[in-house]
This record gives sequence, C-alpha cells and structure tokens, in this order.
Amino acid sequence: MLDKGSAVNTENYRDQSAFIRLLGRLGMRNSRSFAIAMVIPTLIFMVIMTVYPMISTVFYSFTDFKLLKPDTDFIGLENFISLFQNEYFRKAIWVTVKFTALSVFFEMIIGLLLALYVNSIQNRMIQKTMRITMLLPYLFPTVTVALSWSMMLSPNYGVVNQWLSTIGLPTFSWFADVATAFPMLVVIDVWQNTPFVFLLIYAALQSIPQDQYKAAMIDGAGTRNTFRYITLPNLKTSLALCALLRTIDTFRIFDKVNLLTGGGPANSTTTITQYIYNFGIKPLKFGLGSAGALIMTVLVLILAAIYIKNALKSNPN
Amino acid sequence: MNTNIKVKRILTRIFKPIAGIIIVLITVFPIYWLVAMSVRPMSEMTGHISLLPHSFTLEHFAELFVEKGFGTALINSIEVTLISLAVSLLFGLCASYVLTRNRFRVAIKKPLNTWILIVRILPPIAFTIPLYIMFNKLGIMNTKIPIIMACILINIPFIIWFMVGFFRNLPEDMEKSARVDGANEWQLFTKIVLPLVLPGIAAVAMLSFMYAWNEYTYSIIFVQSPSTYTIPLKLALLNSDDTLTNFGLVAAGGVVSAIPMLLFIIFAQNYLITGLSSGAVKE
Repeated sequence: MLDKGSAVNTENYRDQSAFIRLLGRLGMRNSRSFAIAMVIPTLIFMVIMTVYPMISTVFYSFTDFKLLKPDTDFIGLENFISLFQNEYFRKAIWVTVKFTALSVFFEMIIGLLLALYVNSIQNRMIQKTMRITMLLPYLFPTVTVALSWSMMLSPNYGVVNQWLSTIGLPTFSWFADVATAFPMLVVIDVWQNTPFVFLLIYAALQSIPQDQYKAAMIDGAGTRNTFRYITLPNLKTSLALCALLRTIDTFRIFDKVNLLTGGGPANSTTTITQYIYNFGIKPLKFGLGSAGALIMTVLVLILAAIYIKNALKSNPN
Repeated sequence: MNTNIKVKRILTRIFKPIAGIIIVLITVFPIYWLVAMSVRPMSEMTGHISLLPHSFTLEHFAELFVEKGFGTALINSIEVTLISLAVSLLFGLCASYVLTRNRFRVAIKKPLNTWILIVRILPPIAFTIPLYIMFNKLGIMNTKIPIIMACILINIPFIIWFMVGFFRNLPEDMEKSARVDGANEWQLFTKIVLPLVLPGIAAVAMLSFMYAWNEYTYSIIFVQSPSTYTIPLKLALLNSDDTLTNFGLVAAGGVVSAIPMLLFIIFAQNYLITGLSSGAVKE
C-alpha cells in the first residue's frame, strides 16, 4: 500500500465515501454486516495473537531456531527427542503432575470442609464476614502472596523459624532445602487457592433446596446420612467442575515457583513451564522452547478434554 | 442417650468457635504479616521479631516511592491495566453479544466460540515464544505494548466466556420488538441490551482488572526495560535486588499492590463475589 505512491490518494476519497456509506449501513439495515463488524476486532486480534503464534510454535518446534543465531535448520523431531531424553525435563513433568495432584487434592478437601463449616454458621453476619475473609488469599496478587510467605519463611529473620526455635524444633532454609522447598510451595499454593474451591462449594451448598433437609429430618436421618444422601449428591457436579478447573489452572504453575525457588534446589521444584523458561526462553533457544511449549499444550488439552467437550455442549453456537 | 446428645452439643458449641478462630488466623496471618512488616522500623526486623510492631513508621513507603521509583511501576501498572481493560471490554462485549444472538448468522461464530474456549484454557507458554519474536521484530520490546497486548489476550476470552452467560439470559424477543419500533442494531445493543447486563459487566470488569494487575508470566518474558516495569515485576526485583533483602520495602510494595483489591472488597463486594462464583462455573 505504502509504495504505491500518491496515485492512491485521489482514489482514497472515493474509497472513503464508500467506507462511510458502508458504516452507515452497518447496523442500520443489515444485521449481517453489523454482526461482522462486531466480531471482526476480536477475530483479527485472536488471529494475530493466538492462531499465528500457535502455528509458529508448531513450526519452530521442528527447527533449531535460536534468536541470536543467523541460520535456522529443520531438524525434524530432534527437539522432542532431546527433551524426552533429558532427565530434567522428564523430572519437570513428574514435578508438575505431583504438584497438581497434591495441591488440587488438599484444596478440594479443605475447601469442602470450609464451605460446610461456614455454611453451618447460624449468624448471617458472621457467615458473611467469614466468607469475605476466607476469600482474601485468592484476591491478593500472586506475587504479593509469594513475597509475604518468603518473608515469613526467611531462614534468618523469618517468623516461622523463630517459632520453631522457641518451642525447640529444628529450623529450615525452607526454599534452599530439597526436603522442604517442594512441600512449602504446595502449602502456599493451597493457602492461596483453597478459597476458590470454598466459594464454589459454598455457593452450591446455598442452592440446595432446604425442604430436602426438612424431609430428611422428619425421616429421622442423622448428620452423617444427611450429608451422604443429600449434601454430597447435590454437590457432585460442583465438586467435579471445581477439581477440573483447579487442575487446569495448577498445571501451568510458574509464578510462585519462579519467584520463590527459580526451580531449585537441584531442580526439585522445576515445573514444565519453569523448565521451558530456564532452558528454552532464557538462553533464547526458541526451537527447543517451542517443542516444550507444544508438549505442554498437548498435555493441557488432554487434561481439559472433558471440560471443553461439556462446555461446548452447554454453550453451543 | 439424652446426656450423650447434651455432651455432643456442648462439645460442638466449644469446638466450632475455636475452629473458626484457627481458620481465620491461618487465612489472615500472612496478610497481617505483610502489613505489620511494612510499618515497623528496620531495627525491629532483625533479631527477635515481635508479633506486634512496637513502633509505627512510614519510612519504607517513603523510600519505596522516593528512592526506588515505585511510583513509575505504579503508573505503569495503572496504564497497562486500564488500557487493556478498555480494549478487551470493548472487543469482548461486542463479540460475545453476537455469539449469543440467533439472528446473526455468520459462519465464523462456531469456530470462534471453540477457539476462544481453547485459548482460555491454554497456558501462556503456548503463545509466548512466537509473540516474543514478533514483538522483537517490530522493535517494540522496550514499550508497554507487548504487555498490554498480553493482558488483552488473557482478558478477551475470559470476558467473552463470562458475558455469553449474561447475554443468553436476556430473551432475544425483546430486541425484536424494539427493532420493530425503529431502533437499529447498534442502538439496540448500546441502549437496551448493555444496560441490562450492567451487573455482569461490573463483575467481569473487576476480575479482568485483577488479572491484568496481577499478571506475571507474560510480563517477566516481555518486559525488558526497567522504565516499563509493572508492580509485580518491581516487587520481584526488590525481593532479589539486595544481598540482604529489605523486608520493609518489599512489604510496603506488597501493601500498595493490594490496594485495588481492597477497594473492590469495600465498595463492590457483592459484584466481586457473584463474579467469582459465576465466572468460574461458566461450564
């Protein structure tokens, strides 16, 4: 367009008036052109920012592309082979799976217990105050949460070690010790994300029809049976959805890890994203990084397959 | 039997408040600690650290803004968040409205809907590398454009997926009758439909604000010059900056980073909570 020169300029006037006419027509008579005008910004944005990158990631993953290296060659599956042969990458997959499983498990259990607890509070005021208090960790920026915990867990001046030494227990360099770094990350993640589970389950609890409980009471059902035959069945969908959402979200864990351990000590906390960041993005080895990103994408899509299928079914277009 | 129940009742009466206090303590302590560390003088941070600060100081906040240039990061964060929020709301609201209306028959609706859902689920790392190369080629790595684009990328799918539920709850028939009265499509959308979904927009805007405000993964990869650092990056830098990290500074920065959330909680708690619970359950 630019190199066509000034000849285009006179043409532009005609184009412009045509454009104005088109604009005038948009939304005035033709709902089709209105619809197109409404989705086109999103469409263009998504093509540039997601479709094109997705295709490029696949393309780069078969090359030895490095940002500062002049030539790039196709190397077939070499990136994938070297990733899967790499002990640390295999370990990163394992760390991610273990982290996700543990975090989601504890978040679900604690979230459910908290929801049952808060829901059982008789006083409405206390119940509402508890609800918003419980949500605070989830609302705080992850970076801020990570830093607050790193202050508490500081080896020399941290309050946690101070408590431990006061009652005569051994102290730890929490994030430098292979034995404690990983569990501590799980604890922090559970602390921050349990409120999400709590909120969803609590909302589901509130929507259970009260007459079901009344009927159970009339039948003389005990607390345990009421929970088992009324509460739990009513929560089933929410629990499943919640676990699924938390799994998808936890699987990408990066921010806390990168801030608190950077993947160490001895790669014991390197998750997949952290691995790609350390060994693909930082050294600008974008071919290798892309292969890692592609593996990550496939894993997430497998995890989310059920969710995607159900979501599209309930939200058809 | 009767005494058994009585014992049980007394036990729960004692046990329940104690459990509540423990829960609240565990939830609130790390947040309290952040605040407590931000207002105590340096001398109270080494050696034995008391649970309650003995004296109160704002020196960390002063140092943060005067010497460490936290003000720049704050302004950057506000700029990035607001621009990305405005763009993603505009794009997202328009697109999700069309997606839910049967009278708009456009071939791209179905693939767009599916793709939006997939993008919402995929981790940032899936798109980062090509975007990095693209921004690098365009020579805009030193500007705020990459991170603004990244925040829009996070928020458009979220807004669309969230708002589809709200738009779908409005019957399309109402729009048909308004159309008979002579309103054009744009008027229908802005004057009739949008006001009705305002609560939904408020909730989704707050959550999108938070996502952009807290964004870290894209930021650490895309933001390269210190003049464009946002608050999360600045905080991370403060934390690793000195050999002996100044807790007071980090804590003060952390407190500042949480101000928007506190404002939302104080002024719009109900929108926030409905947003959080319905946004996620958007099966």
